[in-house]
Amino acid sequence: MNGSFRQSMAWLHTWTGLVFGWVLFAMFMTGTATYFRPEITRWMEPETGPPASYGATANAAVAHLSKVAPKAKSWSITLPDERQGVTRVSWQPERKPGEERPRRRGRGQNQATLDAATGEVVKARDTRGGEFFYRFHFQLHYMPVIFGRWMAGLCAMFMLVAIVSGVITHKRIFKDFFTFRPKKTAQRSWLDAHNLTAVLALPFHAMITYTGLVTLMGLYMPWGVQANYKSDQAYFAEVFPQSEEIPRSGVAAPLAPLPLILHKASDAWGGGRPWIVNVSNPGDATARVEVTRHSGDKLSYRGGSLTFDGVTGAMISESPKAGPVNVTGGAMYGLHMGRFADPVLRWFYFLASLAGCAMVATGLVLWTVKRRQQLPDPEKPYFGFRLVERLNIGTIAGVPAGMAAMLWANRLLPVEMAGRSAWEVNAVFVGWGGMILWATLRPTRKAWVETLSAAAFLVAALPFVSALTTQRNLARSLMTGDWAMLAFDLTLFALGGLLAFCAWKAARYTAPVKPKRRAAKLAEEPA
Amino acid sequence: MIHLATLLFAYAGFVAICLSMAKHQPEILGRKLTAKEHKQLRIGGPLGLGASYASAVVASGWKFGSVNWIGAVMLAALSLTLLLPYRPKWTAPAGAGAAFVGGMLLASAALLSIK
Repeated sequence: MNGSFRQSMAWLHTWTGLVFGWVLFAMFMTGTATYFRPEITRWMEPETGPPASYGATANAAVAHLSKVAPKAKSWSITLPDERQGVTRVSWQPERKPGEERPRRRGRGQNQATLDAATGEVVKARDTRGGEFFYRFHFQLHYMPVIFGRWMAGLCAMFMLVAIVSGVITHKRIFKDFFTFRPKKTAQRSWLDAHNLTAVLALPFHAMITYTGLVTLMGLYMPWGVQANYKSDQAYFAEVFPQSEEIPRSGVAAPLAPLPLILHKASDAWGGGRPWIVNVSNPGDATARVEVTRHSGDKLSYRGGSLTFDGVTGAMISESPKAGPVNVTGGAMYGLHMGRFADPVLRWFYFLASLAGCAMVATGLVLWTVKRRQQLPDPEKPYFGFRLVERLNIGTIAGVPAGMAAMLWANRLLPVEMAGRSAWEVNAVFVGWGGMILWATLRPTRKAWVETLSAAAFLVAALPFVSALTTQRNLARSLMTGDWAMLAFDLTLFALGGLLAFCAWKAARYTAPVKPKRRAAKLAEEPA
Repeated sequence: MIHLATLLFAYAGFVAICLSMAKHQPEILGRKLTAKEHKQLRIGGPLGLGASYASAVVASGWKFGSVNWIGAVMLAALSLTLLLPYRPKWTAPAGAGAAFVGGMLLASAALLSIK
């Protein structure tokens, strides 16, 4: 680590990038997919219908809950929106005396999925849907949640280190702003591609890494909270105020019509959308209805809520206005999640995030490209080189292949299978691990071409698998005007095509056999 | 519609900035720029990006507009950089076309909102 400041930064960039690169690539890929979390969930629950407006089934949800849990402590109703076609309801049974208030509402058995159009109960296949990619991208898998979050946070921290040191290392950030030379030497082209994907989407990369760390800052840096609050509970109570619990009076009273309450809430927000409805003490004279605003309405993720009297339907209170720090935190969270984004901006997010995947991937490849020329014997590279090379191939082709494998498993595993959703998740790692194994068993070039081709096939064949096994297919999406599912299938084709293109490039690539002569030839060409 | 104008203005702005850099002039135009042309492009580039930002703010307010604009800027720069090595001669006419179409879009949006 001797030498100038820039050299030490280059060293830092190279090695943090390499060591954390593979996990970061998986985090970036699954995070990219998460911009379409509701669509992925919809795709993975083919039994559910098209999206609907929030008011469509409010009555049906209440009717269902009144039937199955009339004496519940509370009900929770997540309304459908323009991206989700189901109403998810859950309920919390009355607690026995002396029992603690649970910190998180347990879901477990006390839940149901209702069709947004008809209000009927939908028996969807057991799947974690897009939720898995979302969870994986900040807490990984096969390890305790807290440990996974620390691992992901460590990777994100070093991502930030790699971004800052990378900008310092890049000597010609403005001069080479528009520079991409695909026909020059391998090292030149890969470096250009790495710079291109990094510099042009730099605002996104810096934002997403920083705000990603901010979303979990309470875990990584608890000291500010510890110094100012007596307990975690006191902190959470102030940041996320919860309405206080009122005991049941025992006097029965019918619930005010929910559509009316939703209408009032929407008016109070100047046309904002209700999203989650919490009803406490349903059927009792003390019933309260808390309506939380849709997270897609505002830049800040914390939309605020309104509380209504459950019997008269009159508005009682509004969640307190958030302070500046809370608003800043909410805005950073919101920026990271991109929930506020309209479809056009959501595609920007998706593309910029894909550029992030490409940045990590090109960086990883660059490590081997740079060192290949200096190998004493190119036929027999040293162990470290071979290890990096195989992990690169197995991860860059393996993560997309694994993610596609999950969608395959979603369509092919028997609907009644026990532990179905867990096996869908296992498929991700079987796919990824399989690709790493494949990469270790084959010569470099063949490994690249074969694993990338396999990944391309796994991704691009998904619309056909879906058409053969379920009611969901391209033609039907087109006929019914289900643009989200149509776009989903077309995106799979496009991503499969992209992987196939990479495989084709890898197959066609001719390594410079005699570097000296090639360099001389290049010098003759006009620059 | 205005989203597209944001993207097109950003592209046009970047073409102007790119053209004002000495290293890109031969590959795009086949010649060096005159001092006067250079000066015009140096002004035109930021002007294009500024128009892009203005259109984004008009369309979605300064909060969402700023986020949209950054997205558009990234996409515009990426498309120019990818077009440059393969079809360098197309970039400049495409920039002029983008500025024109963007202007038309904005003008028609303004007309529609007056009516």
